[in-house]
Amino acid sequence: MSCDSVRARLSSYVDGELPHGEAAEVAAHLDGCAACREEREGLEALIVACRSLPRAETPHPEALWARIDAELEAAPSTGEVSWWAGWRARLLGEGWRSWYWTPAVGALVAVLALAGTWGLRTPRAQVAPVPAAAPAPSLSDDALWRDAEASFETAEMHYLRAISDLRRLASREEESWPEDRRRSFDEALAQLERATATCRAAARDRHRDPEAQAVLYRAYREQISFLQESLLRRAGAHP
Amino acid sequence: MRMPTPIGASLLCLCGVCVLAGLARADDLEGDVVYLPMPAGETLTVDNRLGTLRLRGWDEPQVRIVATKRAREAGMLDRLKVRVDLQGGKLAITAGVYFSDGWRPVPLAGAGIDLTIDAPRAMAVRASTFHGFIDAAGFQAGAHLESQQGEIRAADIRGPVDTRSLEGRQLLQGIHGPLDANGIEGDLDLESIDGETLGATVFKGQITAREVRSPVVRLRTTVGSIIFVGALMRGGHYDLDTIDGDVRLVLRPTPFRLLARAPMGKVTSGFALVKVRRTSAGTGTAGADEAAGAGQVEGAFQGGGALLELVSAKGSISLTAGR
Repeated sequence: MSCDSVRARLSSYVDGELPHGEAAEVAAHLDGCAACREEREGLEALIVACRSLPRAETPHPEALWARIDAELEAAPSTGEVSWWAGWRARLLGEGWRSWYWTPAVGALVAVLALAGTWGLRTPRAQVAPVPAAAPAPSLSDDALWRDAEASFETAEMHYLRAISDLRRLASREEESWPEDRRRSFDEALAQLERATATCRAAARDRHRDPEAQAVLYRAYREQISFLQESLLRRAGAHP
Repeated sequence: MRMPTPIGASLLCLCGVCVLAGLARADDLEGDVVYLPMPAGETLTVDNRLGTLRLRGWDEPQVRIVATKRAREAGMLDRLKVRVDLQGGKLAITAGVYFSDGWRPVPLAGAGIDLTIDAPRAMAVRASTFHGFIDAAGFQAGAHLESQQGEIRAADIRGPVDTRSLEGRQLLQGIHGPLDANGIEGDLDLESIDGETLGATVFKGQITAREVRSPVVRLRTTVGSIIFVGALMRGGHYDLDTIDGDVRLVLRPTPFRLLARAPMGKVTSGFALVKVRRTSAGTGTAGADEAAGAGQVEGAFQGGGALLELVSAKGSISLTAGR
């Protein structure tokens, strides 16, 4: 089994979801491949970190919605603008090197939480009722879902791998950061992880809802961009 | 076995062309080629998680949608549908598949729909794919392009453009508006960009920017090099940062002020900089060949003009004169 094949299956392997024969092949490859072992360790560390976070409560749509509404009310208004408009405002209005994590992350968490529950509150009209003339299924729904879920899983693997790589980089760099910066970074990251966990729980609960997957990907992207920004800002600090 | 949809020229002539005039809400398209009158089109939203997407701005007051289905099993073809939702000037096109309990836009490896859409240039575009590429050109009201694992290509677009991809190259040319390009893995190639701002960020991949005429430029990679080729705008601000990669500039000689930092590599400049300061060698003045060394270089060429802030945390930085 090649490294690519193994890495494509690592997520399922770590979760114990691979068929026995396939799991044995992956295990044999891991025994002899240090790079793939490192991938597995990174993924396991991330999963452990995510699992150790407080599990997002099963969303009660109305109560949760009210809470999110309240959070949004309290969030700085920058969290409500579009990504592009926010970027431009930061870029042109406030100067590049004067960003601070906490308010932005607070707003982001509120927005992510909103996004994470949005799919639960208002299932969009993408799942249409079957019209009278709907085509008769030839393949089983389960077979189709397996196909779709394999795509979701591959994409998720890529996001998790990027996050794992960035976290590894960050944990190395963090040692040289000032204490207060390190603390605010850790707090902000923890907030983001909790928001991502909420989105992940929503995606798991509604694992056949493509919109829930899209929201989860957005959460991963936000985490990646936060980690990248943190690393680059420290690297780019001109004395 | 892959079963192509019957989209031959003869079929197109006989039955494949439909004109939908009274479309008011979500409907499934029937036919491989569909025309929608769109005299005052505002926005075009396309979500094709089932295949590739080619978008072209044209001068006709209508939208043409060409759908090409493919499936390993013939029975699947009927289950693949393109849904169109028209609300005033807002057109949404979504590709999906029928399950026994309804229609859903999901990515499939075993079946798909490739879309080619021509639409009025004035429509603002918002498009996404999952595995397939997006190729958009000729629009005048901006574009938001997003793909999980497909390549993104955009050319000749006016207005704000932003892109997102998880995995895949991005090739953006002739963007006449603010550009914000984001990728996680994959190279970013930018050429002939002249909006007021250019921002490009990638986690793993090389950023290459040629002939950029934006006064505010920010290019950042975590793992990968940054290459900038062309001229600097007088008064422009260029911020090029990488952690694990080199920063290389090939510049036509124009005045600039330089702040370059490469703590683990070296900074070399083919330009005669004045007031060069190096952390390793103190402060002084250096000629073209002398402005090389580890650490930090600060200086000005021809009295300064554009501001260049360059960082490579683990690689090197070089500036060379080009034509």
